[in-house]
Amino acid sequence: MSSFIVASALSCALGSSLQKSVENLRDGAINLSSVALDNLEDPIEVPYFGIPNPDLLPTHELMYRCVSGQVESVIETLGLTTAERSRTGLFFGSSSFTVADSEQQYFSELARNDVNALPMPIAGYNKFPERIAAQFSLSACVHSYATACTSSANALIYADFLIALGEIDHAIVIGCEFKNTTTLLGFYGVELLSPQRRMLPFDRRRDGLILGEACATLVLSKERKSNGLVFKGGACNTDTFSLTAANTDGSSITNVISDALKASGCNAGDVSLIKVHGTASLLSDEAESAGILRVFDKLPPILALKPYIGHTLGACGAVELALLAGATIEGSFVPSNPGIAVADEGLGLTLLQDPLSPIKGHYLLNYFAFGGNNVSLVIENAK
Amino acid sequence: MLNEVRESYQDLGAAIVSLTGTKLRRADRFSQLAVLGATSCCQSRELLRPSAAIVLSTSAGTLSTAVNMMTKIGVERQPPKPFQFINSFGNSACYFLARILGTHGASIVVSQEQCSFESGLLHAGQLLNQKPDGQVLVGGVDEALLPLDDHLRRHNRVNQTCDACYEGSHWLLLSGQVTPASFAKINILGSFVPEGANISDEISDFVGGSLSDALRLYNSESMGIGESNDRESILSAPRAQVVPHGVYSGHNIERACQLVRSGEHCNVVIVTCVLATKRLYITSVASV
Repeated sequence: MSSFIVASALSCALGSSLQKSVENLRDGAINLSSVALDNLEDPIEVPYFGIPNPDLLPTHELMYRCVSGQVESVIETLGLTTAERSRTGLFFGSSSFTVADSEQQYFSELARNDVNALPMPIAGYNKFPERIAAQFSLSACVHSYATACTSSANALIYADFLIALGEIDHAIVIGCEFKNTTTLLGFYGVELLSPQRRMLPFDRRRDGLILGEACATLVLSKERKSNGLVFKGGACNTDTFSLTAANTDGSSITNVISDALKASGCNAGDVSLIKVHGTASLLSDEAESAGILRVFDKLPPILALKPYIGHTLGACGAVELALLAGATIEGSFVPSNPGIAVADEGLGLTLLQDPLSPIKGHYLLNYFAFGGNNVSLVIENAK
Repeated sequence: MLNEVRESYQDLGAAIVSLTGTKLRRADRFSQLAVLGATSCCQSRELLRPSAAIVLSTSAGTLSTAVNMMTKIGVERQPPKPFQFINSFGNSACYFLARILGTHGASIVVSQEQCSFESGLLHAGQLLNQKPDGQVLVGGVDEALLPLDDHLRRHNRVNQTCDACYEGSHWLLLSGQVTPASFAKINILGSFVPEGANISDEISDFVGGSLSDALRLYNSESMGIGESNDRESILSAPRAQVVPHGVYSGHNIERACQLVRSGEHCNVVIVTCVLATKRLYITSVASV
């Protein structure tokens, strides 16, 4: 394998564009808000990293504008002709897909006392991606991935496979997660949200995660472009230790990292930077640290991005790759996590405390999901 | 496996206990369907290696769980139950499958509307291309929900009524290399229907000279496309009023494998053509 990352776009809590997000990441300008869920018997308010939405667009409209705007932007950036678009696939990863749209329709019908109110009226993961692909005259190669928090990370792996096979020349990979009541209440119900409203991965004080809204579009291509970023490959495995966390002995995470390095043609000593999954939940961080420590004799710099943008669930594969690539290539810095996991606090990992200049070499990116789905990706920054 | 759903659901839990000897606690109906279909496919467990990958395809995913959660929030004004929420992610079904079958390889859930099973086959092919000595358990699962009128509305069949719908769980164990257990070879071609194209020509190009020997199976939306062949059979929807979804082609492909395995046919071609999206898949199942 090895395809080239030739264009990207991002909207997240740090900003509506990749450029703005990178600027705010450099400045540490965190934009944490909250969501009031007041239509419950016992109303609650949960912290949330939302995409800036000054026009107060309904979520389904915000989602459509973000996704179609990003796809239009990357197509323009690359100048893809009609013929080239017909050789371009669309790979869509999400945890919630169009649930926000379904909720909006159903809750409106209930509010009107409509006796025919239909819960979950929109069925089909691939409906929205098909609409986007048709809008931009892309190829018939349109697939959706629904593996919870690893959805868009898996989408990247299979996009790379299809380019290598020559089935397509370019792949537009989208990670998409937008605010919806079902997801917010679901995470509230499983008690994984941080009571202290701060994500502190690998830190002794960690007590859970904060959810985030984000959308990223990455284009993988068989043709090298000037930014020097290469998608080297990745791996996935299934851990049956628990439905909600990888084995805390780190064994399955060790295996998926090792498989990803092998698929990418490199070894642990070649890794110059690790982007952790780092959900700041007790068991997940324990499993990830144990897995990393079993692979690396000497640890490279390690960073976490969720403290800045929240856990963007199925979008985080594409979103965190776009943000890391944007920071290192466009922003010329490697982001850090000042004040989080400062020293060895029991898990054996410390996070980068000060930003670094861009590092050449191979970057390892980890993503883990409910249902035991573990994914590791490797990219190379050749610049 | 194709279940008919009329006024009530069959108890899948009892069938799972009977087949696997295990009670699947906390699994929703979608996961139960996946486990039933996949364990039926892998009854000779010695064939399945622990490194096998699982590719689960679906059009609508964990629809009954999503409906129950949304109703609980909207009507009861309560958060969803924890395991209800966790089951709402499609890959929870992969977790239950991997646990029961003892696998730890890659797993994914993929979707492509009415061509979801074909999408699953393509992904399985990619995995086997990377690892020719590997195995992939590929399947398709979609639920039929009660009440059926609501189910039809969710599939944009607003003015349609029916007294039965079907839900399916169809599975194949694939290997990248011929083994003593191999009985069929699968090839798949996916493309857009070219403007003005003759679908029969597309099929002929794909299967070469063997078309005249091939039994052709057409999925529902492709009925009427292609010239008839004296052994042609339409095996798509068991009833005309059935709602097309992403795994009916799984039903046909599973059936084609049975026909080849029994020696009744040596070559079966399955054509799935979705006119709305101009997507065409041609899958051939041939004896080895």
